Amino acid sequence: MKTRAHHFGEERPLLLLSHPADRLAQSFRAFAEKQGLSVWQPRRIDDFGWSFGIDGGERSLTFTRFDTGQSFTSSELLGIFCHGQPPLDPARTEDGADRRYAMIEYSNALWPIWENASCPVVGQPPPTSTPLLFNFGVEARIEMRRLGLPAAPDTLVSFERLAARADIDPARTRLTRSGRYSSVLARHALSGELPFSEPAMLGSEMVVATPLGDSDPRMVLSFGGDAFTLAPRDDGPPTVENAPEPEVLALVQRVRERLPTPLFLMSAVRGQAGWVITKLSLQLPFWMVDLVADWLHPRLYGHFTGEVLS
Amino acid sequence: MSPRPILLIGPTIEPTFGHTVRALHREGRDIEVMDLGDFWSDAVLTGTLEAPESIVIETRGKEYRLGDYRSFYTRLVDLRQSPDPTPVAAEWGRFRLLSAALAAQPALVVNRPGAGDSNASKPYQTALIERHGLRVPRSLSTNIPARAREFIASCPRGAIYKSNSGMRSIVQAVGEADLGRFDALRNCPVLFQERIWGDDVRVHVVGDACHAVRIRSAEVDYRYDRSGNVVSEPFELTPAAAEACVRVTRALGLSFSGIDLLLDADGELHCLEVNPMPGYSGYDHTLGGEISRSLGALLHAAGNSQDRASPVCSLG
Repeated sequence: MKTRAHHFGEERPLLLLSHPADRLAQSFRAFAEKQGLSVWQPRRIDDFGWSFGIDGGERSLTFTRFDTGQSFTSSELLGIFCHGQPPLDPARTEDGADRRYAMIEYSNALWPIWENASCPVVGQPPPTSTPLLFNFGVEARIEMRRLGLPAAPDTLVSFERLAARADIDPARTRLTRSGRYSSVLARHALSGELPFSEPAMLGSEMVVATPLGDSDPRMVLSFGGDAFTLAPRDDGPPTVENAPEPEVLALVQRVRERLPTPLFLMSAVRGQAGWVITKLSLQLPFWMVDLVADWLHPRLYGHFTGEVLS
Repeated sequence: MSPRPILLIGPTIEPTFGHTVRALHREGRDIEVMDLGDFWSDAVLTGTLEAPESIVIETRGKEYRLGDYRSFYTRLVDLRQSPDPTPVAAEWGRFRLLSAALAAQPALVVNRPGAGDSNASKPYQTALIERHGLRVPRSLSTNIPARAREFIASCPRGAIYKSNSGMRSIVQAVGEADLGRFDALRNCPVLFQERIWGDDVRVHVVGDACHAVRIRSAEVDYRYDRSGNVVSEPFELTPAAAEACVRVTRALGLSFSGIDLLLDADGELHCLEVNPMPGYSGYDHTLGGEISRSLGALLHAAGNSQDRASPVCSLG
């Protein structure tokens, strides 16, 4: 069992790379600090220094707290937990640098961290395994197929032709707009309850139709192979249920074997050929955090410290 | 079985895409062209990603059924002149689905969307390149001024700096004046590399073929040498170097790459970058059309193969 090793007489900090407003990061930080861990969460990205070096086959990774001047190698950190957006707010642009450019430079420069850290890392995986990072539904399902995972089928159709498609049953189909990062669900579109203010633009927009399957969808949270099911409700957030049925658990294990990070959220439905994945996400929505905290936080803590909390 | 054409998808106003269209046409390749400019303004995609060959793209009154093509050459770049650099939702959605439809094709796609993603992070890609057997310069990506100063001090032959991301930057030598600006690194990280003195070598890998050009320039970044004294000439790679270039191209999931190298005084090659969407027309002129002939042959041969390319790509 690992212990909380010390660095120069101080506890090794857990580096929390998340935006200060990220709900899971806030919640887990409070839990970890209550357990006595030292958590280093840069409030802004320019309070956080790092370097990644390549020298004749050798890699070096260094992290610096600009506020205290302390520096750490990755082995001197307890671990790195990344969730949601990093604290990308390069507010200090004293020389007038383009903030947008700086943000791109920051986020892309950080990629090597995930593969080269020698401490446990939870969160954003390296693009090696997931080039599309599961950001978008359609691309994520293509990525799942590449990884050999059963993904729900996707039909592409333009919005204006949707009503004429007899093979698409809006009551049994998830309709996703393709043109927004947030992918607004357009389930009500066919019934005339357009939730959008620009119907003229929608006419030329593409929609992705994904069958809802023959079963109620299963939303499963998994950490390190452990998993439990959340039952969706129409009138509020999901309720917490027990362990997934064996077929769904088998699917969770297959996903687990193919992802380099232990934490993921999976939605699945039973289709004609068995259970298929409709969504795979490495991030938890904010409304889920309080529901799953009692289950998740001790596991996260144990992953970083090696300690099992009773 | 009826012959199937090659589909070229890109902006016809873009020089490299235009060069490719003309070159393949001159060779007598059976090609069709879908102008990305048309696609941006008006297009509909219909089909299912489970049967990606069934997907049909309609644009400007023409239909492209993706299963009808033996292979695809793509340059998915947005060159539209617009005061707003952000495409509206409908346009962006079409573009996303075009990328998704091409990524899912079982036929050869040069290059498959997603395969070149490592190019978005130069330090990440540099580590990958080294892992696959090409020498790379000593490198440091950092926003820590003290670390940058240490690194520069450890480079007796000087150092250069450039962007970390895939956004184009002009590569420059670190000078005395730059050392006084290092505190600004906290605002934006920079990739430093030990300077390799020598000529640039640009290698285009097309399938298993390598085509190399040596570039002599007095500037650190020859792309911005306006002296009129830049000399480009064909260059012959050693078999080992060619093999390493092919290996790294495959490892990044690419079938066509533009690899930037430096040739030092001892004849050793040092790799700077692997471009997944190479602008190759100038080098093709230097080589008398070798690159586009290889590209045409690759795109044509793909449709003759019984075992079609797997859409799986691995960056690892």
